[in-house]
Amino acid sequence: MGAFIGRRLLASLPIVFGVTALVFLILHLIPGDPAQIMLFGTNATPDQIAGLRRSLGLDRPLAVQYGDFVWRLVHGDLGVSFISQRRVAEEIGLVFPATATLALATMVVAATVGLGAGVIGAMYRGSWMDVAGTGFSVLGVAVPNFWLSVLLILVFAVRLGWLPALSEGGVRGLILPSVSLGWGFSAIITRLCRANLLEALAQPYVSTAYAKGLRAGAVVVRHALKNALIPVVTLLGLQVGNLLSGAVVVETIFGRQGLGSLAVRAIQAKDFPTIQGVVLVVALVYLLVNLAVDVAYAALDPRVRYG
Amino acid sequence: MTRRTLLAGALGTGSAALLGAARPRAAASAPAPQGRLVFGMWQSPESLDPGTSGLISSGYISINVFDPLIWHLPGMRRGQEYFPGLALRWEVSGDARRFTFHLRRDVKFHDGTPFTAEAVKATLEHIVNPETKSRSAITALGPYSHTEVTGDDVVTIVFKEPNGAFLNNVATSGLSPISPAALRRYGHQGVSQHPVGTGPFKFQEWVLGNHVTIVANPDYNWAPPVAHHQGPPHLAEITFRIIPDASTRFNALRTGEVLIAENLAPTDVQGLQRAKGYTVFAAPVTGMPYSIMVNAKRPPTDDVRVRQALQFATNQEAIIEALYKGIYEPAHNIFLPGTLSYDPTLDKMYRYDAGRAKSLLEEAGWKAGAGGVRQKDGQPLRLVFINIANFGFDQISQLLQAQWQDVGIQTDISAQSFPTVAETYNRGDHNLADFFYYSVDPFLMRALYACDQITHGFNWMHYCDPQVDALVAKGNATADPSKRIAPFREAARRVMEAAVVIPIYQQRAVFDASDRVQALRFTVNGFPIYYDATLRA
Repeated sequence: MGAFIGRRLLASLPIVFGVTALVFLILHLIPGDPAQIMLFGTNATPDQIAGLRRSLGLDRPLAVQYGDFVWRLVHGDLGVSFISQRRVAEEIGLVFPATATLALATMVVAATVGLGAGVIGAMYRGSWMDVAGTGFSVLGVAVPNFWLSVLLILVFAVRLGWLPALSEGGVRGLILPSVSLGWGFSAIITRLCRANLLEALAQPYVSTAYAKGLRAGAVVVRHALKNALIPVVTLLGLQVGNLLSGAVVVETIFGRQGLGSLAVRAIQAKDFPTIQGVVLVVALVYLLVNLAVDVAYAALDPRVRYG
Repeated sequence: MTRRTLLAGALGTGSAALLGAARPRAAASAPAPQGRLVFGMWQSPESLDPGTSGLISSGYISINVFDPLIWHLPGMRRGQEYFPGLALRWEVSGDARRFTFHLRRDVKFHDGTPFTAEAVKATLEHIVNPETKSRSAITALGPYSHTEVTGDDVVTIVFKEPNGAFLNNVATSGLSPISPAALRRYGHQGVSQHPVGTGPFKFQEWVLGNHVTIVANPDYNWAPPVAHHQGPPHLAEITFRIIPDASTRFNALRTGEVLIAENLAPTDVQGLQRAKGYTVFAAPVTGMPYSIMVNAKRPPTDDVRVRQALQFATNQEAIIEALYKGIYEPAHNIFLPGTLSYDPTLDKMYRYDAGRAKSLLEEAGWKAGAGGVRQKDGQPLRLVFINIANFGFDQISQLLQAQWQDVGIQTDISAQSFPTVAETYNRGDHNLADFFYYSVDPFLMRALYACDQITHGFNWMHYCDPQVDALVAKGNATADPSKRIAPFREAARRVMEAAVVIPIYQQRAVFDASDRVQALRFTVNGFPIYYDATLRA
């Protein structure tokens, strides 16, 4: 298992560098001079703009700038933000816990609702609960999270006054953002879980389990669900990317700090080092989560072995 | 109505409301600061060092944490615009190169360091130090040479060239003195996270991307003489909560999670104006109004008659009626009223007159053509209108498109996001561009109309008139406002005659607040000053 993880990590390195190279190129191909943006609204002379470009290192050839970036990166240095002049690693470190909290809360919402509705739908196929669950998930997939966020704020914060409109620290502030973000995911999980569980319930080993006299609950949870979960876990891993891009929107709407809102600010200001830092962290998170998913297969299915 | 009278009106009400409450309290021992105010602002500050930052969001905070050497508060006292801040009095040399300030001796920074002439010098040297990477402040400072310290309480700031705009610039937060001890302790970069000033509020915490909190400075006793009280501020704490989304700011104001919010959608502002329990503050600002810039190089707007026809075909009043009724006023001048050298007679140069627009186009050779679009030599009269995306011009450009269609001009509207659009504008791919510009001094003309600002600055009109350049330089060669007005007015007249700017509306700094927020005041650039503010229970 250790060797497997090590090989996977090594294989990820080219991906990480590929991502940084691509982002670097895209950033520099889009017209717009960061120095001019930073001096926007001031009586800056062309000399002052050129001076700022020089001090940001933007006057050097592209290849040199990228080489410098990679060199610093392998030394664990993400550089300094053009805008705040703070170390990018420090900025990301400050906001990352907020995004991680939101992502975890979203996963909890999505997994609880999605698995619950999926299992009930499969067990009581065709019942009103199944129909309600399916309708709920269709809505969840169809409703965009930015619209849902605003709607939830209007109902639960402005009209009813039960929850805050702004997401402050604490559980109360997490409810609306994680539901806004989690509903769509829960819907996908519901659909997938229900379909896979139905398939698993039709397998001979389920009949065997029933024949041995096990109760329905034990059959479903211990035998069928475990097998039905593998594609769901894969899906959860793949959704991390969507989750983080959804966080950009939801963090902005709820006024939450986080990676998403940091990325938006950085992109608006063409703050190259920060954008690159955020993209790098997102790519790493994506790779690590999917590695964790592969490892989880082994726990879920003893037939899966890594050698 | 001029800005002066509006401001006087607004302040009149404010003073009347305060006469009963604040004045007698100030005379007795001031009560301990109380109440927490939360302000919902759209943009995150990038630095809390006034010497570095270029953002309004940083200015909102630093104007309350730092004191300027002098305050520019027009309209608060008849016949006087400038008031003592950290300097009790000041003198300017005739050539506007030497500015001498006589400083207060009873002022302490938040870290206990006494305020002296050395602090002024250290601050200016911090701003010009390349390591600081200053943005607004270094341009506000201008052609700085050095600072001469004479004892603890006299400081002379010397410039390489005349810098008539300096008095207006030194009165903003950007050049406010920073504790020299803090500069030494945290370094040129570090002070951006540890701002130590002399202001009525002290920095407490900054949670990146979420909020900045400042608290009352109990030792504060050097408010400008036009403040309604002396001593510490009335409010105990102010939190600047960063909320990028306009509808969330509006909702948070309605739930009471914030007590004051900026930059709401015009329809929401209009709703709050009618609603109970809210106050809408619309503070005048100075500089250039929201305007359309017309490219004087790219055909067909390279013909001054076509540009003038656009001016006469534009109905600002109709735009305000449709979009900003009750919030903003139409603009007919390249300066906002209240900007030094604003000339009200220029407002009459262009007023909506479709007939005049048509005859100017006829004169320029653009004859009525198929589909209502004028033609010349087989070419339709078509203008490329490139908007700055999400800059508040989308609806305006559509209304203009319809207005200009009436006189036979076709307009093709597109939009580009900010970093990209600046290069497009500098290249000159457009006939029409969007812009506005806040400035406390008419020297803003240097950035907007100078010949050397075309390819790399904000002269997106691609307009070059050496006489305008010379007049602007002349206006900056003295600090005497009475001598500065004439050259700037003459330059403004030339720009208006060239018809390269179509002013649309006079923007204001609009803040929507719970009516619990009382006695809020504003700087000339529309930043709220919380020193006198109170919270009604």
